[in-house]
Amino acid sequence: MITLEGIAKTYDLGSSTVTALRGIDLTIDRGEFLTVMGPSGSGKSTLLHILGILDSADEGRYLLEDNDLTTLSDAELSRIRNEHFGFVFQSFNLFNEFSALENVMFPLMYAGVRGSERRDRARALLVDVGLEHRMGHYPNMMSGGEQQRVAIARALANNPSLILADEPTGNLPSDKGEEILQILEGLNRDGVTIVMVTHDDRLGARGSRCVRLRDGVVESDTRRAA
Amino acid sequence: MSWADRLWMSIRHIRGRLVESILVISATAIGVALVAAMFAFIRSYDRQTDYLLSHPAYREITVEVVGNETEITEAAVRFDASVSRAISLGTADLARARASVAAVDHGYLADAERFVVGSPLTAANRTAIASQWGAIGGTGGIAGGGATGARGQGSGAADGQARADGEFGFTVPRGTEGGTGTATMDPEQMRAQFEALLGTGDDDAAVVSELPVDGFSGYRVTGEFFAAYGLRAAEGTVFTNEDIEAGNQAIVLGHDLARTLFPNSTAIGSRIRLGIQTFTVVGVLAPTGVRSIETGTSFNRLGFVPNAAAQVQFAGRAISFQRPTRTLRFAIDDSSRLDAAVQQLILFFDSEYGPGTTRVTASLNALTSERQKLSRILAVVLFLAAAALFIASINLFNLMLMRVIKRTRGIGISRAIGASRREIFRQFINESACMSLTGAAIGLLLAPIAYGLLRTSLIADVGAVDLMNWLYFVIGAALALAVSVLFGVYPARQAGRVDASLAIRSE
Ligand SMILES: Nc1ncnc2c1ncn2[C@@H]1O[C@H](COP(=O)(O)OP(=O)(O)OP(=O)(O)O)[C@@H](O)[C@H]1O
Ligand SMILES: [Mg+2]
Repeated sequence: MITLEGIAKTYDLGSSTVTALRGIDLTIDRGEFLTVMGPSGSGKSTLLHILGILDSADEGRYLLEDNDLTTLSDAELSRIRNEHFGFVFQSFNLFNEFSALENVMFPLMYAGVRGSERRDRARALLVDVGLEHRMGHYPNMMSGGEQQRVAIARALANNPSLILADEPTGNLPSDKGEEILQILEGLNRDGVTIVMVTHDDRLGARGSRCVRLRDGVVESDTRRAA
Repeated sequence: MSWADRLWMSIRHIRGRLVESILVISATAIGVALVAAMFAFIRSYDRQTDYLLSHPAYREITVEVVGNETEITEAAVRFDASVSRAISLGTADLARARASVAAVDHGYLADAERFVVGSPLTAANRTAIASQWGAIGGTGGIAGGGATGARGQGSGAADGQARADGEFGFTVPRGTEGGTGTATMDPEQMRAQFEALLGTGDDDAAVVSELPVDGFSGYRVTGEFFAAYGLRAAEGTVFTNEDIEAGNQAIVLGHDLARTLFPNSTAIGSRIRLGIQTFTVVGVLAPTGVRSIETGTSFNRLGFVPNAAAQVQFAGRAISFQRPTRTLRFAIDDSSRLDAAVQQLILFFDSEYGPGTTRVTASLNALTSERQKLSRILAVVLFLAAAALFIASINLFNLMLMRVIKRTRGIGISRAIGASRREIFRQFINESACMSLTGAAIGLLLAPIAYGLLRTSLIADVGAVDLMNWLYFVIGAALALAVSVLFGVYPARQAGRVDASLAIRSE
C-alpha cells in the first residue's frame, strides 16, 4: 500500500539542525496493524506525519499504491488526506468551538458531502463509537475517552483505508485506552490499515507488526504470526 | 467545501468572540459611513457648484449702491420733478453703463417678486387706505411694497418695506425727501381721486377676470434679461427696453405658467390684473431648464414684467411707483472676459458716482474662491474619513492575525482532516469579509446621517439640485468595503501558510 524509500527529515533550527529521520525504508501492506515504538525523540511522530503527508520528507520517495506523491499539488494531497487517511492524536485535537456532531461532520464537509447526508453519516459514526447520547456536546463537556471516540469517528468519516494514530491512548486511563484499542482492532478486522505510535509495550504487542525506531532509523521490524 | 459552509463556520467563529467582533464591526461601520458620506458629499458639492457655475445668475456681475438701506427705500417713490439720481440705481444708469462698458454683453434689472392676481381693492382695505390717505392730507410720496400689489421675495428684491403678509398696503415715507412736490388738496377730493386711480379693474372689459391661481412668482426685468438667461419666446415676443420706455405694460409668461393661467386658449393678447397694474401678455417662453437658484422653481412657472416705474396720473401729475432697485446686473457670454468686465464696470461706476458709492461683485468669482476654500476643507475631511477607515481596517487586521495565531492548532487539525492551504485561506478571508461586510452594511445605513451633518455644516442648499445620490453612497461604501476586505488578505494568507505538522505538535 505504502512504500517509503530512504526517507530522511532534518529540522533546521537556525544555528543547529536536528535530524529526526535518517533513511527510513518501510513498506506497509493493506490490512496491517502496524505499531511504531521507540524512545522519546526517536522520530515516531515525524514518521507518522510524513506517512499522513502532513509533512514532507527532505529525501527519499513516498509511493502510495505505486504512485509517487512528491509531484502532487497541495490540493491533491489534501484530498488524499481527506478521503484515504484518518488521524487520531494523543491530545484528541477536536475543534472545541464545535459540537461532537459538527466535529465529525468536518471531513464530510471538506469532501463536499451535502448537508443532510453529512448529518446522517456523522450521527451513524457517533452511534458506532457509542456516543449517541453525546452528539450535541462540546469537547470540553466530555471525558477524555469520549473525546477520543469522537476523534475516531471523525477519522472514519470518509471511510479511510489508513488510520494514523499517534499515541491515541496516551492521555487516557488504561480502561478507557483499552476501549479505544478495541475500536481500532475492530476497524482493522474490517480491513482498515492501522499505524499506531505507542510507548506502551503491551499495546505495541497487540498489532500484527511492530517497528522500533531509534535515532531516526528502524531498529527492528517484527511481525507477529497471525 | 461550499460557500454556505464557510459562511456557517465564519458566523460560528464570530459568535464565539462576539464582543471583539462587534467592536471591530462598529469601527468598520463608522469608517465606511464616513468614507461613503464624504464620497457622496464631494460628488453632490461638485454637482451643485457645476450647476451654479453654469447658471445664468452666476455669469452675472452685480452693481449695488453701498449705503443705508432705509435711505434708498425712502427714495423709492419719486415725483418725477424730484428725480435724484444719486440715491438709487435705475434703468437710466443701466443704459449709460451699457453704452460705456464694452466688455459686458448684457445689462438688465431682475428683481424677484410675487405677483398677486386681481385688484388690491377689496371693500375693506379700500376704505382703510382711503381714510389713511385722507387723514395724512396728501403731502409726500407713496412708497413701499404695495406699488403693484406685489411683495418681494428672495435676494433679488431689495424691498425693505414690503409687507410680509402679502396684503396690499401703502406706507407713507417717514421723511419728506421723496416728495418735494407739495400737493395741497382737499382730503375728500384726494380720496376720490385715489379711488379712481386704483380702481378695481372691473371696468376694463378686456381684463381676464377669473384666473385659476391667486398669484405667481416672477421677476421684474428689463429687456436684455431674456437674452442673458437664454430665454426666448415660443409664442409672441419678449419685451424690449424700447417697449418699457414706451410704457408698455407687457407681461411674458413662462411655458407652464401660460398653460396654467390659460389652459384652453392662447395667452397672447390677454390682459391680466396684478395689483394696481394691468398687463398685456405679449409672449410665452419656450420651455427652459433654468431654475431659480434660491427656490429651485422652474422658470417655466414664472412671469416676467417690465422693471420700470409704474406711471399713473394723480391729481394732475405723473406719479411713478418705482421699486427701489439697488442692483444692476450685467452678464458676459464668455466667462474668460469676466475679470476685464469687472474692472471696466468698477472704473465706470467709480468715475460716475465716486469711489466707494457702488460695489461691483462677480458671483462667479465668489463661488470659485469659495469652492477652492471648501475643496481644501473637504480634502481634510476626506483624509480624516479615510483615516478612520484605515484605523478600523488595521483593527480588523490585528484581530484576524490574532485569530490565526490562536487557531494555529485548529488550522493544523483542519489540514489533517483534508483542508487544503487554499481552503484555509478562504475560511479566514470569509470570516474577515463577513465582518467587513456587516460593518459596511451598517455603515451604509449610517452614511446618510453623516452626509446630512456634512451638508448642514458645510454648504447652503441649492433647491435646484437634487443632491441625494445613492449611487455615490454605494460606490463609496463599496470602495471602503474593498479596503476593509483587503486588510483581511494578509492574515488569511498567514493562515494558509501554517505548517500543519508543526501546528499539531504544538501543545
Ligand atoms: N518542528 C521541529 N523543529 C525542530 N525539531 C523538531 C521538530 N519536530 C520534531 N523535532 C525533533 O525531531 C526529533 C523527532 O521528533 P518526534 O516528535 O518525531 O519524536 P517522537 O518519537 O514522536 O517523540 P515522543 O515520543 O516524545 O513523541 C526530536 O528530536 C524532536 O526534537
Ligand atoms: Mg511523538
